[in-house]
Amino acid sequence: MSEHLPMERFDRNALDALAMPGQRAALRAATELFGERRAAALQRAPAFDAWRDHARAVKDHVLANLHRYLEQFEAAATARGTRVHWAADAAMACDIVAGIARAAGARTVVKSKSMTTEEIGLNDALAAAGIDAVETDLGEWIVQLAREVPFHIVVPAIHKTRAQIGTILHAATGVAADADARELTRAARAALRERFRTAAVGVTGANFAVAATGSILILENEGNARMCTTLPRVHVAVVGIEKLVPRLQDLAVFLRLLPRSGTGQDLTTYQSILTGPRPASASEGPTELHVVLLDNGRTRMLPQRVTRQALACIRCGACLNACPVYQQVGGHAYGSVYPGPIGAVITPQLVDLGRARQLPFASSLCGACRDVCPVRIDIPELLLHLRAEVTQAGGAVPGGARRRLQALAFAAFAFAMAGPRRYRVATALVRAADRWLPWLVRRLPPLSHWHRGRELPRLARRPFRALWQERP
Amino acid sequence: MRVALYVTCLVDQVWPRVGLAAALLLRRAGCEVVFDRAQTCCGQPACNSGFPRHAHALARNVITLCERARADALVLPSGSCAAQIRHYPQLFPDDAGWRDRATAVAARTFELGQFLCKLGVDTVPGRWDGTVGWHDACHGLRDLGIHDEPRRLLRLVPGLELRELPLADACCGFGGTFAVKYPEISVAIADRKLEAIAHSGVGTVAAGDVSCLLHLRGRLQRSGSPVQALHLAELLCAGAVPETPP
Amino acid sequence: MSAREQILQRVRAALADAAGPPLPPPSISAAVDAAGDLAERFKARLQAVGGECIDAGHGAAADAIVERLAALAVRTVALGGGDELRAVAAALQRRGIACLPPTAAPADLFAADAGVTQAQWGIAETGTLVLDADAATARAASLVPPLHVALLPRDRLLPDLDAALAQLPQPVPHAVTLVTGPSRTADIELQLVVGVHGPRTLIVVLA
Repeated sequence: MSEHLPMERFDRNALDALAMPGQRAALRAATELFGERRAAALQRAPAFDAWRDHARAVKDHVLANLHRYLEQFEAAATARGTRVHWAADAAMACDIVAGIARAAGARTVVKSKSMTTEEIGLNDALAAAGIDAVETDLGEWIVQLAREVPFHIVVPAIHKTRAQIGTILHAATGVAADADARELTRAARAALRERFRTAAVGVTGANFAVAATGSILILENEGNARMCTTLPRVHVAVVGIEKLVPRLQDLAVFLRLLPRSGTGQDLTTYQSILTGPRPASASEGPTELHVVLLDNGRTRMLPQRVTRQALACIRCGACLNACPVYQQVGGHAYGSVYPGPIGAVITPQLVDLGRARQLPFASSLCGACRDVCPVRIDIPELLLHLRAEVTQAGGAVPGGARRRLQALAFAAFAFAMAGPRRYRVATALVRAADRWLPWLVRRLPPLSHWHRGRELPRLARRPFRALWQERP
Repeated sequence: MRVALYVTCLVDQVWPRVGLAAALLLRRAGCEVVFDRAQTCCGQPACNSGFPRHAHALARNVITLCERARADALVLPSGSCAAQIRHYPQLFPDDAGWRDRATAVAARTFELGQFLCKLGVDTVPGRWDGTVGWHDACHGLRDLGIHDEPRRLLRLVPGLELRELPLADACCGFGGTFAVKYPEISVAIADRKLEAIAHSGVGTVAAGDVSCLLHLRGRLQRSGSPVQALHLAELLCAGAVPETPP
Repeated sequence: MSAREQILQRVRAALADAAGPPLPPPSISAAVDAAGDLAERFKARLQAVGGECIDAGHGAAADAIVERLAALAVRTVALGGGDELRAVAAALQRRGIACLPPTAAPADLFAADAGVTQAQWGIAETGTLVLDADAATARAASLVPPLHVALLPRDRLLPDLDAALAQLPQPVPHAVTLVTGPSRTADIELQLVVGVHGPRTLIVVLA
């Protein structure tokens, strides 16, 4: 079973990641390439900023009226023959999907890339129910075969070299381990085609759900989602409740933003807009279409405006590519289905503030993420909000002793800064301790931490305020 | 024009030369410069570490100080501190009184380089013989839109050759307490900047924030690089402001 | 309480004080590059993503398709539905190329060398085909075989995505597929590989 690293130990995970030169090189290549491609796409799209404002306005409206749109979606989808299910949490969602698969008599399901299904731990839950879930997106399949978790939202196996992938695919398909990317892809295609041909159930997520028509939209480049939603006679889509847009027409602005932001493409190869199972007049397509609407903590983010904005996320991956921290440590270190800047702000809310307490602090607050977010989520604002939540959390969040120490340090800092005389006394004390600095630097954590990798600045012999006094 | 100089705690304690240079530049531009010794810290570290209450207290201090100065402008040789003060109104969502006062102060708050350009400064007292690359510090760039001003000012320095750094707007990795909470990541991010700096061949990296400069300089020194890290104000006054003893 | 009630109640309670903006009118549809006529734009965008475009004269589409498929040594074709393909089917049969009908089981299409379908609309902004499954069968034929040929009437070209979405009939068809070029991946060391699970070759015949 693939397991995430513990998110509670982001610090250790990050250190381990920094010590992997191959992974760092792959990460750098990927984030640089996507960054360049995004920039090039924006050059060709002068209306891009207007699209962002428009998309954010649509999302803000939907989220503020979410109950109405959820009900509208359910009614419209049901009228077209879709079976709509509601799952309050991950366990419920897994039970529903397993139930559908069992009722269809399926021992295997084929899956397209879906972070929502990873969020609920679907593959493990299905395995426990004796059902084999086969990932069909190439990167996801490689990661599944390697018993790992995805490294990046868009290119899950980017941390692996071709040689490593060759070894993995050799074991699974017999292809030569040193084959080139094309041959490896061909081998994967052949192996997975057999699965598509015989699978009774296809499981996907959805990028968007349209309330007015009861439709879902799935974007992709490989064609595996189309396979999963066309060939099997049962299709199940697990959809977070925040994925709604009001009308079919509203999809256009998101289709313009998502591919450009994530990979610099003007449009991904395939979009499937699916509304209900096949009607009597059709000879292909699933005869059963199920949509599982998932909460799993999303409603916790709704009440406050500052947290609600994170539900506007369209999972493009742009913030990951732009983040100086993600660029260095990659996706595994976060220990979450959702890594990078957006992961740092939604994981504490969807999963648990206690377990994810390091994540809001794992940022230099540079704001690059906010710059590139297609729906203008103010991630730094959210990071600060969550930092305050962590520091103010009592026993509910582990690490209380350390936090109390830090709170004390900041209280002392605020005290020292509260007035000019205290400030003078405090800085005089620090200046007096300057003599012992080399000794302190090895023992006192903030200083010793600075000292790892950097020379320590020394205090000026005389501060500015003294020099100002003596100016001519 | 009466200008209240807010030097920032880092400049006051660690890099006072920047304060002297800032005062010189403002006076040369025709300003009366006042410095209130009651100033301490803008509160950014507390705000960024999740202690908004401490940030509030410090914000109220700064607001009071600024009102007392009766100056036309509050000028800081720091983009991040100037951005923090501009941010003050948002610290008082439920207190209209303080929010209004904060708004008035924020409206009069400027980063040094932006302010000098506003005044139309077209000569500077410094001379510099060498190549300089500019680092766009994050808060100055993204919150205050500082980009063209420092480059314009540096080009006024006789002898100074300005080169555009690759990744000029990439974060240096300081990030406040992030630098000591996650030192290895912080340094790894700095190394990416150092690589870009080395690639450009400049002898000096310049920025508008002493925080970034201390972090970059610390790493440059530890890695044995001869590249210097200097503040915008120092370069604009190079030779005109004495080296203060370390 | 059912999960449905639980979720809806949580949402309602969370949004009690919410004041969201009104829903903005649908799209700002400034087409990204506005110069040039629709067919030229469509061709350029299609070629940029690795698709091929054959500009066939009126009535010449069937022959153009057959010639191309014969040149590619295609022996079995999966046919999509639609009247316009009857001429193509006849021409293929005359050429000795076997055809699987649109009612064939999708699983049988894995043996086909090519799929030939209609496309109901084309989008010039992006070089995209719009396949409407209510109008004609095409989902599996355009997906399973490694080569996809799409017959697109040139008077069915639309400027952009907004026009295409507005053009869809109401009620919306049970499956609408947008196809922009051949299938692709960059999952292995970011190296672009064309032809993954969907077709490796896409040929659009403008008739």
